[in-house]
Amino acid sequence: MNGIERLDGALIKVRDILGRPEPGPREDPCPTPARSRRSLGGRDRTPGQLELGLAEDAPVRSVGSASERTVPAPTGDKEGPVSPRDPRHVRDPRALPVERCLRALGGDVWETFEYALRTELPVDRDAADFAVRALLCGPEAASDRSLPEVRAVRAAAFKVRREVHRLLGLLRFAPDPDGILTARCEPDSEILDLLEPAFRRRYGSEPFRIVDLRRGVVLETGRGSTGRGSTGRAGLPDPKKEVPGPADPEPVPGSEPDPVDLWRAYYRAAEDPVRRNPRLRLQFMPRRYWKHLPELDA
Amino acid sequence: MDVSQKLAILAAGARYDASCASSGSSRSSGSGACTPSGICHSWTGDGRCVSLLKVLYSNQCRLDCTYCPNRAGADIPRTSFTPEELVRITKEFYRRNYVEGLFLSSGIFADPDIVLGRLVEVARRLRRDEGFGGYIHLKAIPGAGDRALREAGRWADRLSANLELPTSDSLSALAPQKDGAEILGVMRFLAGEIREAGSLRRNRPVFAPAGQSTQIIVGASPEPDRTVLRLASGLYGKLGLRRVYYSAFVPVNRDPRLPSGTPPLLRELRLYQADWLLRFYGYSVDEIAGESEPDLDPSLDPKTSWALRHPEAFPVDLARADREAILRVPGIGITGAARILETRKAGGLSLDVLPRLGIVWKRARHFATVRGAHAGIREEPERLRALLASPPPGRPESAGTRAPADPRLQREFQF
Repeated sequence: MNGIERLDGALIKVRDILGRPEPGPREDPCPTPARSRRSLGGRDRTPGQLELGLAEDAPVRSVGSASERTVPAPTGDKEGPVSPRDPRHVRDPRALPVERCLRALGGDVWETFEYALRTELPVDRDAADFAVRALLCGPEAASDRSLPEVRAVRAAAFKVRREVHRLLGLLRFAPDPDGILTARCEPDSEILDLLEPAFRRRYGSEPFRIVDLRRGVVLETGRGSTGRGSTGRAGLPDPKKEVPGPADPEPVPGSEPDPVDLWRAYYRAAEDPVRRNPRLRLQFMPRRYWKHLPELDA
Repeated sequence: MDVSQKLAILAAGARYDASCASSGSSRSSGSGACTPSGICHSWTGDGRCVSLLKVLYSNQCRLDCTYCPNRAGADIPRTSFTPEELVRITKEFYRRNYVEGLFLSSGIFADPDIVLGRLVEVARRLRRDEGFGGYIHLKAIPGAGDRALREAGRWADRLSANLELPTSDSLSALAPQKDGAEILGVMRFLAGEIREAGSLRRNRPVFAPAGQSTQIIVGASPEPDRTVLRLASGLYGKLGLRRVYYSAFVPVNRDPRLPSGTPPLLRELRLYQADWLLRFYGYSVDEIAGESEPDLDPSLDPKTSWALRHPEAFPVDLARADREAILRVPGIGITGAARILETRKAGGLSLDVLPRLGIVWKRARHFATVRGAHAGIREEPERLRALLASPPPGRPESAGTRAPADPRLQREFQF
């Protein structure tokens, strides 16, 4: 199952939970008076899809902070709108109204839900419960860490935010044989599209490419457009096989110094041996990232 | 000497400058952009972040400051970059995502206006000729004229003039060619320009949008922590500094005026913790390091130390207390306090939940209750102190070198 199918699956699960015909003896999702139920038009009962606006009848926003855009409402055709996270994948129309409602809650509810499902952690059921509770009790409930599903989803989303922030600094770009600046990484979560905006600002109109070796996915930009695909499409090696390092041209005697060698020289010189504290370095820069760092691969 | 050798020498010469921040600016151009929160690109084996290409323009210096590895009398290889070399290295490092930009300092190899002019030339070439939108931090060389300083602020995101030592007496003793009043004069000038550029005069050119910072060496001179913190507090309050950095004195030169021994890294850490309390937690210098106890306790973080000295302020009932009171509980930081308030608002706060909120509960539990329920061990203050005292991970336990106290050297900088 790809990431978009997983996301849609969780959204449809939310839709199914809320669409149960009769609440019956179901546990009240907002049990304490302090956890006040969101205003539901004066009716004191668990709302169904109609009250929450889950009907499939309006334009919606699709996922992906990198290139958020309005996508057409589901038309009933077999094919729905494509995902900006990966245009190869088509969204399930049943999921989109739920997404719209979660986005409408504001705060970080939608982002937390969506980020949690980018990890490889088994949080799908927790994410559905998190979303149901937020829709029924209001966005404050999504911050109530006394609830196990809120803690699980927030912990997963935190992993994604932390990894994005880390990789903004730890990606190392070098020109590939085709001249395009390329960075390789093996992130724990599916985050290529979250990395893209920062590097677009950094490189302006210069094309660049980020390769997720773990998933065999490449994000490639150039002249205002962004493409995503498998590593094979970009002419990159099969990620399951051994991957050669970035291809800088062989240094010619008497020519400019190799930037990688300069960087290594700088990195060595910047360390103060009197303050040596490798444990602290590991805390900030876990060893799993070292493989793609030229200052540490020697 | 080739560029690689120059880079190694001039990076080693700059590593005692503690500043590493690339935050506070949102500049962008066709070729690069700053990230307001700053980005760390690597960490060296000493655990310090690499965010900027931090180098000297030149390590030739006519000043003979006792504590400085680049002092005039030091027997080290001397070299200088050319502006072309620095522009090329910065661009290439930035393009490969090694750094967020450039931090450029220099030895005083000529008249201050000339030295600052060289630094400005590098920044100007990067911005104007190369369209560089990354971060630039320049040293504001004391003694440089207003015109050169204005030009530096035009191209740089951040400027800094290092005050070096906590009192003018110590500066006179250890760096006799430096003038504390002159350094403070530069900082005052920068503060005025930054304030004016940040006001609503939209037509004014940009001036150091990420503000200014400074650095104070601790352990080379005899001042207590209270003097250091009073100075920092004044710099934040009166001159609007973004950061004051504390650098544990590392003995690199032999000089009878200097203490010998290990750098006071633990003292440096405690000063940073105290600095955080001043800026974000609402503490005053008198609360952290009073006249009767002018030094921070090396065995405890300053917040825990204050809490143990003020048992009357605890326990704090987390179910009712306001944010300020919650922030005074050891083990609860800004994020933890926000989570407690969020969970409380949703009605879910209990003793069972607190350890799961990302706070240091094993510390906080001695100082907090939830509606009267107490999870801590009601220890005697001395036993509690022993229980909570511990060196931070990865740090040496020693408090390090300290210059002997000299009551004659107590005159503080005047703002």
